[in-house]
Amino acid sequence: MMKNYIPILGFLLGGAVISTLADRYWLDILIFALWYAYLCTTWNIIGGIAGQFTFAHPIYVAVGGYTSTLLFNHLGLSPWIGMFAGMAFAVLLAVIVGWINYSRRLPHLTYALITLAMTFVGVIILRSSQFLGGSEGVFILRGNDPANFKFFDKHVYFWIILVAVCLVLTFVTWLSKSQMGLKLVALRDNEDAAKMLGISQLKAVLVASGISAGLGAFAGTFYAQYLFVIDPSVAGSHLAVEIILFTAIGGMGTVWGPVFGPLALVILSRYLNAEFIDFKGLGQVVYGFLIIIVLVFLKDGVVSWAGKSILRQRTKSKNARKTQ
Amino acid sequence: MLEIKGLDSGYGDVGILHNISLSVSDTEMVAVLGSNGVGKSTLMKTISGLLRCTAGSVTLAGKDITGLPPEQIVEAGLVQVPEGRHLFNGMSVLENLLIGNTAKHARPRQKELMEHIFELFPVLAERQAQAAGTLSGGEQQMVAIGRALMAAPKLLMLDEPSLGLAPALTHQVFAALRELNKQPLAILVVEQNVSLALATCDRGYVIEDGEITLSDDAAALRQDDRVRKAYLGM
Amino acid sequence: METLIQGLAQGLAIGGIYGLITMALTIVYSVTRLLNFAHGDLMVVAMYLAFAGVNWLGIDPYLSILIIAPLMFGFGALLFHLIFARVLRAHVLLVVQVTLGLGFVIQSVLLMVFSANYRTVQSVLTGKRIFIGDIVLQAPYVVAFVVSVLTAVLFFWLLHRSTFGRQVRAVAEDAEAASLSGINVRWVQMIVFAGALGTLGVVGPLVSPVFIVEPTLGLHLSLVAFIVLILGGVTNFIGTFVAGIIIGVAEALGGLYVNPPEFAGITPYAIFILFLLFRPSGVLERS
Repeated sequence: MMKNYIPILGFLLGGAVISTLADRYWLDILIFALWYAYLCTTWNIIGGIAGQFTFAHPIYVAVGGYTSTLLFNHLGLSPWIGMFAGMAFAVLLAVIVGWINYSRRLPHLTYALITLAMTFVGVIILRSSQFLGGSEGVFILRGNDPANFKFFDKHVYFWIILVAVCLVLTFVTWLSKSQMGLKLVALRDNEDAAKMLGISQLKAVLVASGISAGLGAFAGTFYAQYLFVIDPSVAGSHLAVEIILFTAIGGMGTVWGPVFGPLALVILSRYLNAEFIDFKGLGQVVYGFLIIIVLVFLKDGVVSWAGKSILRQRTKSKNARKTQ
Repeated sequence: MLEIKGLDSGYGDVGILHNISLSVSDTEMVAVLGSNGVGKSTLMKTISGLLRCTAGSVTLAGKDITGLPPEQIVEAGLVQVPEGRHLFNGMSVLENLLIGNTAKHARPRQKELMEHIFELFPVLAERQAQAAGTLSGGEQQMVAIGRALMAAPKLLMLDEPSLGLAPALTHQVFAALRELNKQPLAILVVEQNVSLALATCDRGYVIEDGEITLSDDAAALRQDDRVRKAYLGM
Repeated sequence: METLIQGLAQGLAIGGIYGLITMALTIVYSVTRLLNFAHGDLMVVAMYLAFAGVNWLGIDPYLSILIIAPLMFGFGALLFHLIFARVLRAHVLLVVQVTLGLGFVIQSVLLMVFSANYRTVQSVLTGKRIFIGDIVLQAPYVVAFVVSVLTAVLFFWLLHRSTFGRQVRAVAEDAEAASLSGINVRWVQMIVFAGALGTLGVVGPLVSPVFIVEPTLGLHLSLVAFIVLILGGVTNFIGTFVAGIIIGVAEALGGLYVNPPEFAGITPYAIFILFLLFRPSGVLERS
């Protein structure tokens, strides 16, 4: 059992070592890559393991970021505490959306469409509301105030997001072996059979999407505290598409796919955009093509493909040994 | 007409058929017999190109059709009436027949083929404009056969034509097949109703567990102890 | 009163366009089971082609349809052959991801070539009005509506009266039986996919004088098309066109009467959610 968690520990230690070597420029890139990895891992709970296609994560990010920031700016509540309020709101929102769709036994497509619509509605509301700062968003005074989640040293942000990724990974590793995880996978792989066994789709989706949304909301608080601003652009569908594609290229439903995908692609696209500064957006074009190629030819993403290849190698060498 | 040699087939990595060899001559009506789940439908799907075979060859009128996609096999002259009929229920009887007339070599003969089908099944002429889904089971089977005939086949293949039909209707369908066979038209039919199949067909093959275990003239099979015990309940 | 009529006319035009884009989406879905989230992005491509035609070559958008529609048709055949034919048998989620990836590439390329600026396209009809009694209508809207209705009628006629249309319906109903009847299913799927893109090649230039286009507009258009598809009853083409008109009119009236005006964009989504809340059985019966 414990050996499933060793790679996570390795990832944590490896990350810590890298953080001491990276300069400010690379640290910034790595923090964003890890931020995406965090979001993809939380999305993977509902999108990959439970197989429910959702576009709502940008909204959970916005809910988390705006809630903790507004609580801090207006009431002086530390974001360390305010983030839990944001998480609670996100859970509530996710439960309502899940309920609208699955209490009426509507198909997966409408769930995807409702959540996609949420991102458009969210941006419109955030942009047009004075209280929420309109298009400019809400600012946080810069400073170094650890009690209020503010640091001058980027390393601290790196360590926070690294630890957050590892915690969610630990949870996902546990979940995928648990009773709940098995139910979710059963629903994903054969919905009708799972329902016949008495697994409630509504309950499973509500739990999975609630957890996924709540954890996702922390990414919003982190974003606001790192950049000292939260604005409507985080709520847009663009982020949702990125999350889905990063996860898909890594491998949906696997533990490490959602980490590998964003780390590889964010670093690659930042590098390309910096190298070819005249072609603004070249990074996106290249990784967009990469994603299509990976999906068309490897189907399940890099991590599951690698896993299968290793498995095939092993069985091959086993068979070879047998014949010898 | 049809010559199958050493055919292996299945779904994905699961092999179902092993080393199947059979043949149908130009004027013959041949039955493939066996109980549920021995691979009869898999054999049909493999011959008609819905499934890829993993070994062996299929030859139709001297032309190798192994591994061709279904529409090219229809073009070559081998047409299957699928199990459960699979009509286009939302379309009229006429439209179903016209869909059957897709093969290039059959298209110029559309009128002649259609007249011939209405001669064989006069009820279809009356029901031309009716939606296929609203017909009775027997009439639907006639449409399914008619649709296949619209492709001007050299060999007609039927998968369980008696499925879901009352005995009287089943006899009617087999009588029509016999009629077609006299034209002549080579026919290969998979059937669970062994006594009826052996009464109508010239020869039969028995499949058990994906392999052909017995093949002989229909008359000889009717007398065979194993067939009598296993399929005729005697 | 006059603004109301203006708004209704505008809504009808946009609604007709929505109906037409959704018909293209629906026909692709019914013969390939492909849920194409890049549908809107592909329409945006056609709109930018019209923009490029005007600004780089000086061709009027209405004239450029003659070039853009065949171009999009060819692009569709190529896309189907290179990408979609390979993944059609895979899990539906994978296919959706591929279309999202395609949309992402399209957006990124458009951003590189045309930048993120909002663009409008000038045509010969820009600013022209049509008078019917006391009612004044903007000519580009009238043309868009008339052409979309005509295209929809042509579409319907082809589907029900031509041999190819019959084959399309056969594949949509039962692809396996269609192939056993001698129909080349892959070919039908490719032509339908290419035809859908060709339709977008007509629609894109047609609406370019009345839409403001920017590279990320596509996913919004895809979403609206999917909403129309659900409201209209998935594979019911007449229902689709009617649903398109309803959404278009609601959006236009929302733009006139919703306060604050920024919230008008929410109208189609609100209708969708209300529909799901109060008529969920409608969705189930139809899908």
